[in-house]
Amino acid sequence: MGPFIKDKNTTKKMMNHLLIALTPIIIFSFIKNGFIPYKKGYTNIVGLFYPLIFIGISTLSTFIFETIFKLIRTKNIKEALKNTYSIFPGLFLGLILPINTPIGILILGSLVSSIIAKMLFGGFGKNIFNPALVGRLFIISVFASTIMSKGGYLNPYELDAITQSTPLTNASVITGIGNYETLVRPYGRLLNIFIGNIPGAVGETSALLCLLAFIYLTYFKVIKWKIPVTYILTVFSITYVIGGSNDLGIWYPLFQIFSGGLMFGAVFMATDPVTSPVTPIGQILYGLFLGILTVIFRYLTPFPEGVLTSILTMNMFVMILDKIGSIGRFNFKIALIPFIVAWLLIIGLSFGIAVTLNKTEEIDPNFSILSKEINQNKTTYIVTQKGYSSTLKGQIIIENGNIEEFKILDQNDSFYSKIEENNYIEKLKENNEIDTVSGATITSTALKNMIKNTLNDYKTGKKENIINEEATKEPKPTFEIISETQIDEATKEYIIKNKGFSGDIKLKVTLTNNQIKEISVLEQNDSYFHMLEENNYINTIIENQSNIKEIDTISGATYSSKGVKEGIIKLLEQVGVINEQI
Amino acid sequence: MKKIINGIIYENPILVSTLGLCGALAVTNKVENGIVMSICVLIVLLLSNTIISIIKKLVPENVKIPVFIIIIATLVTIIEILLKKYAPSLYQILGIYIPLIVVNCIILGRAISVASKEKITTSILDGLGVGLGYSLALILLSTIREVLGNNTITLMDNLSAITGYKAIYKVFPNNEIIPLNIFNKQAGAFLTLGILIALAKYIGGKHESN
Amino acid sequence: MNLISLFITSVLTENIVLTKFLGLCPFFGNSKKEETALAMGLCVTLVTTLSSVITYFIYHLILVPTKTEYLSTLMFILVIASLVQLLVLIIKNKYKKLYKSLGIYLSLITTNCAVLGVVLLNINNNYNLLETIVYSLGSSIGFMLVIYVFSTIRERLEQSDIPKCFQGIPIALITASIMALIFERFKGI
Repeated sequence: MGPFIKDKNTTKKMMNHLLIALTPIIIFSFIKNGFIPYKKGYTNIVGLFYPLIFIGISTLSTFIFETIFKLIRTKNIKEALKNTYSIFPGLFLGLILPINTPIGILILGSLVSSIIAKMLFGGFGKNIFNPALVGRLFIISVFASTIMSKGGYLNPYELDAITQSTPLTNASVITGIGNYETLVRPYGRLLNIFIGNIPGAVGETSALLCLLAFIYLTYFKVIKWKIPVTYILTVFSITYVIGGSNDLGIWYPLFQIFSGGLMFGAVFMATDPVTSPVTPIGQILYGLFLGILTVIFRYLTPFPEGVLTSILTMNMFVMILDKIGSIGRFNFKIALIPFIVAWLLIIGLSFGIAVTLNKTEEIDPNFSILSKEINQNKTTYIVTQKGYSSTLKGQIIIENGNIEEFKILDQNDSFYSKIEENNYIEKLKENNEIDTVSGATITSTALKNMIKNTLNDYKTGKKENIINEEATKEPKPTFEIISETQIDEATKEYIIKNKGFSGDIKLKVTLTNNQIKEISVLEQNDSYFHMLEENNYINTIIENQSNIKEIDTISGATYSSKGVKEGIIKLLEQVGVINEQI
Repeated sequence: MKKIINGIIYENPILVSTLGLCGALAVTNKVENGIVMSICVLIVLLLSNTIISIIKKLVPENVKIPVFIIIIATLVTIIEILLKKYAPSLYQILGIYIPLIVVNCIILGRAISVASKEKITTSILDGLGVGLGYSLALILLSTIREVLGNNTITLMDNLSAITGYKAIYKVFPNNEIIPLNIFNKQAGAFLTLGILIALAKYIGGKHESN
Repeated sequence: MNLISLFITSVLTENIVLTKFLGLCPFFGNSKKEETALAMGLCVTLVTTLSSVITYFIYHLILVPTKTEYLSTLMFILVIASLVQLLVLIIKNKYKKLYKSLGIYLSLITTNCAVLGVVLLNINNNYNLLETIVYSLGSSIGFMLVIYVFSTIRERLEQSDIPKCFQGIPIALITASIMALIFERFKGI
C-alpha cells in the first residue's frame, strides 16, 4: 500500500472538497454551453440542459460500469455499491471532452476509463494512468473525425454565430508564431480567454475558475500544489522566451497558459493523488517535465493540444520519479542529474523554438540551395525545386544581376520532353515571365520558380558560399512503381509507392483494359489516413477516374489523399492512359 | 492425437506460453494475412521438427543450436523466395515479419525441447499440434481485429493472383461505432491479445477446478 | 539535421517495440525487475549496433555484387548468433556476477526479434552507413527506454489487486496498449 491512500475519512473529505471546487466550473459550463445558446435562440430546451446531461451521463456510466465489475468479482451487492469514488473518472471525462461527442461514444469512453484504465489495474488507488485521460485519449484517437464533423468543440451558438476553432487550433494553423491580432483578437481580449468565454472542451475553458479552484484546494491541503505551480511556471518561462525573442509582449505566455485546458489539466488531472509522485522532489520534477513535454507537443507536433499526452506520458515515469525523490533525500547528487537534464531541455527548447519560428518567413519550401559559389561578380548556384513527379536540380550562373547560364542537371518529371521540345530552358533564361508549356504546366512553373527563388537569394541572401554535399547525391524519387504483374490478357496489377504525409503509401492497383478496376492500400503510416476510408475516397477515385485530376483532397487528411491521388495519376501517366500534365 | 490437442490448447504457443508474439501481433490486421502467416509458420515448424528429429543423432552437442538455426533459416529463405515469386503483394504486406520467423521463439524452442530428443513421429505430431495452436490463435486475433477495426473479413484478397478468387465480406451495416479503427493500430493489437489471454486463463482456471 | 530527426524517430515516433512489435518476448518475459531490464537493454543495444554495421558491409560488399540477396536472412542470423556467443563468452569470463543474474537470457538475444528486425529494416530502408548506425542506436535505445519504464510499472503492478485472470501477461498487454496509444501522439516531432 502506498502512502497516497490516507485513511477513509480524509479521503472522503478530499473528494468532497474536489466536488465543491468543480461546482463553479460545472455551472459555468452550463451557462456558456447551455444557457447562452438557449437565450440567443440557437437551441431548444434539451440543448439548454445538454451540458449537464452530458456530464451526468459520463459520471453515471463510470459509476454503473464499476459497480457491475465489482458485482461480478465479489458477488456481493453491498460490497459493489460501497463508494469508492467511481464517479470521478466519469465526471472528469465529461468535462474534458468536446461537447459534440456522440452519446454512444461518450459511454464507450467511460467504459474504457472505468474498466480498462482503472478496475483492471486493481481499482481505486492502484491505477497507473489517469483514467479520465485514458478515456479521452481513446476517444480522440479513434473518433476524432466523427466528432469534428459534428462540430467538434463548438456549442450550437458558437457553431452558427461565430464559427471559430479553439484558440490552440487557430494558433496551429497560423504560419509562424502569430501576434496579438491573429492569436487573441478573434476571441476578444486576453481577459476573455482568461474568463473562458471561448470555444473549448465542456469544462476546460475557464482559467479563472481553475485558478480559484487551485487556491481553494491548496488552502484545504487537498492537492499537491507543487505540481501545478511548477508545471505552469515552466510553460510560462519557455513561452516567455519564445515570445520575447519574437518581440511579443507578456500577453503571449499568458495566452499560452490560459488556453487549451492547461489550467484545468494542471490543477485537476496532474494532481490526481494516485497517478502522481509522492515525494516532493518527484513532484517538482514531474511538474518540470510536464511543462517541457507540453511545449514540445504544442510546438513540434501537428496536434494542437499537448496537455493530455504530456500527463499520460509522465504517468509512466511516476515510479522512477518517486525513486529519485526518495534517494534524493539522502544522496543529493543523484537527484541533481534529472534537474540538470530538465534545465538543459528548457533552455534548449526556449531558444531552439524561438529561433526556428523566427526563420519561417516566406521561403518557398519546395526550393533549396545546394551550393552557392561566389567568384567576384559571378555567382554559381546549384539548386533544387520540387517539380511534377521528381525534384528538379538545376545550375544557374548569375553575373552582374543577369542570368548567364541556366542548365538542368537532373530531373525525372513525366512529360519533360515537352519542355525540351519547346526549348523552354533557353527561353526562360531570357525572360522569366513567359507562359508555361501546355501539357507540362507544373514542370514549367517549377522551373520559373527555380529561377525566381535563385534571383531572390542573389538579391537578398547572405554573401557567402554554401556547400552542401547533397549537391552531388541523387535526389530520392517520391513516386515509384515497385512491381508489375500480368494477371491475364487485359489485366495488370501494379504495386506503387508514393509519398504521403509522414511516410510512403503503398498501393496495389489493378487495371483492366487501362481502366482502374481496383485499388487497395497495402501500407501507410499517416495518422489521419482513416479519413480516406471514412469518406470512401478510394471508391470516389475509381468512379471518377476519367476526371481524376478534378477530385478534391480530403480536408484534415490533405497530404494523405494527395499522396494516393497523385500516385495513381503518375501510374496512369507512365502506363500511357494520361497524356499530359494539367 | 492427444499430443496435437496438447499443442493446440494446453501449450498453445501464443495464448499460454506467450512465445512468438512479434510476428503474430504485426500481421493480424486482416484475416487473410493471419492465415498466410500461420501457414508459413506451420510449414516451417513441421519441416524443421522433422529434419531435426531425423538428424538429431548426427549433430554434436555444442553446435546444436547454430545448426538448428541454419536449418530454420534455410527453410524460411525458401518460403521467402516462393512468396516473393508467386504473391508479391503479400510479400510486401508481410514485410520483415517473414524473415523474422527464423527468430520466432516457438520454432527454435520446439526444436530444442522436442525434436532433438524425441522420435520422428512424435516430433511431427508435436509440430502439427503447436502449429495448429498458433494458427488458431492468429485466426482468432485477426478475425476480432478485422471485424471490429475494419468491418470486414478478408479471406482471399492478395492471394487472388494465385487462386484468382476473392472473398471479402462486410459484417455490420454502416454505423458510427464500428469500424473502431483502434483495432487497426498497435494499441488495439495489444488490447485484443491481452483480453484473449485473460479469457484463456479464465477458461483454463475453470477447467482445472472441475 | 536529417540524422537527428532520424534518431528521434527511431527512439520515439516509431519505437520498435510499440509501433513495430519487435522485441516483445523480452519485453513481456524479462521486464519484471529493473536491473535486469536495464542490463538487457544495454546488451541488446550493443549487439544490434555491431550487427547492423557488420551486416551493412556484408550486404553491400558481398551480397549485392554477387546478386545473392536471398541469402541475406541466413547471413544476418549467423552474424547475430556469433556476436551473441562472443558476448556471452566475454561476460562469462569477465563479469561473473552479471552472468549469474542474466543467465540464459543472454543467449536468447539471438532470438530477439528486435535485433534481426532492426538489421533487416536497415537494409529495407536503404540506409547508408551513418544512417544505419544512428538508426540501430536509436531503435535499441528506444527499446531500452520502453523496457525500463515498463519494468518500473510492473514492479508496482505486482503489489496491486489485479483480477486473477488478468495477472501477469494480460495486464502487461493492456499497459502496452495504453503506451502504444500514447506513443502514437509523438508523430510529427
